[in-house]
Amino acid sequence: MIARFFIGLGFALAASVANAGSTFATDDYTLPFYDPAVSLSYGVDRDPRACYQLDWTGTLWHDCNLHYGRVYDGHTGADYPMSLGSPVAAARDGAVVDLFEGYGTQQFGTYGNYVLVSHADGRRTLYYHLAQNGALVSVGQAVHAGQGIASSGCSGQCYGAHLHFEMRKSTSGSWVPVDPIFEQRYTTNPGRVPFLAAYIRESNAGTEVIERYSTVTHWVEFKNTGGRTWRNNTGVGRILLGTWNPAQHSSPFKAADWGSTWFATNVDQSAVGPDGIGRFTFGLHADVTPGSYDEDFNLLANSLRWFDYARLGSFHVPIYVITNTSQ
Amino acid sequence: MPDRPNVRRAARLAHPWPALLLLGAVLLLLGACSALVGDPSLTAPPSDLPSATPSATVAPSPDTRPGLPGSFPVMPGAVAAELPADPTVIASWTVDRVGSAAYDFYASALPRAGFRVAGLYPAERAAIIRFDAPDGEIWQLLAEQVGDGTRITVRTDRP
Repeated sequence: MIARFFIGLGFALAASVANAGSTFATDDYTLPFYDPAVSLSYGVDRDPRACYQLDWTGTLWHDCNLHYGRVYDGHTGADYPMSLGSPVAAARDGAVVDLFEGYGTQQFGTYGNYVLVSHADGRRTLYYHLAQNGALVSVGQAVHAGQGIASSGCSGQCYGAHLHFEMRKSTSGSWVPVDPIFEQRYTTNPGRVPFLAAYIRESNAGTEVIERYSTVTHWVEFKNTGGRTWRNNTGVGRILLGTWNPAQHSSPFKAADWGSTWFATNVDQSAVGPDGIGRFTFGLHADVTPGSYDEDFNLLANSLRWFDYARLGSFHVPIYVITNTSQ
Repeated sequence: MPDRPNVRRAARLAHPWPALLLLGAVLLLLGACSALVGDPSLTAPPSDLPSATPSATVAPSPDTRPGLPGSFPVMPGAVAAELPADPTVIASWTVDRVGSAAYDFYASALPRAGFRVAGLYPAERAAIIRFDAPDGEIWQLLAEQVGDGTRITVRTDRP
């Protein structure tokens, strides 16, 4: 019934329906890469019969053909086009339970190089066709959602570099591939990349005029357009605002409330879920020669990854320092 | 009076040759006149008569499939394959390699040859590249493993 209900619906509508009434959690699975422009090549075939294909929209194809963007017959995962060497990320917190990285780009085996991650909800995720010696983790290592775990490749059976992402759960003692969309385990359908933000507004969108030796308070708001909840009270993955161009440069405008010479602030709220608005409040202290300046900032998932600065809105603060008239 | 037309028609049917000869003479005369005055419309056959030019009323056949542009890249080592009866298949080759080679070649060669790529859809044993055809339509290049080789097929778009 649910499959028929989805016929003809687009991604967005299917998402809202699929998530309705589920045990949806804001820290659930995200897409295993960072570029939101990557689109699905082929999804899971949910019909076990040969030459019957039930795709993620609920459409049933009675043939053996490839249906781009939808499905191909007998497919057990989701294929995403990714150029060689692109970063592959863990879809959720977990632990690496197996990996192989010895294959070249010839056709060896079916899946080629892979990383297998076990998650606390009992599911496992697999990442296939990875680059030779492309694993960035080791067996037994704990990984965080959004953490880079490997480089993509084209090992195993592969017609065009891509990532085969597969979710499995244990059923009657064996691991069975399932469709993440219909497992209702994505934060959105068909998922979001883990870390992404869009500029909304700031306390002063013009030039901050600051008297020399004084401090002004500035805040900026970003929408969480990624799949991970932003938090300010965790170690790895905490979302913070830091200097950019170049990354982590010592800022001449570091104020007393900064965490370091480049780390301006954490996100103000304790949790900002997908589609929420996060505010970052920080001081700007002018201890420089009067004149015009421009300071760039970017968001960082602590110890994991900087956000895409361009997609963030290339946030920067023009600053004009004037002579302190009280001295 | 009502009988006269029937009599005349019967006479024409009973003796067709003089009429045909007369018609031929008229056509020859018209042809000569058109050549003199330079009006090609006078020699154009009626639209309901068979013509050497294919028309929309002709049933689809392999001869009606779209032609491959001369600038279309062909993968080195590719051997032309016999086309199926399916008129949506435009061209087909085989190469004696499996894996990503054919996909990789066309993913870069198509845009270099001026064909905008509309979508890349790699997978395990086959891949599709959708690209803009010269007439504004979208065509597909399908590379699929067949035995120890790869079949490359150019065809019109399909879901």
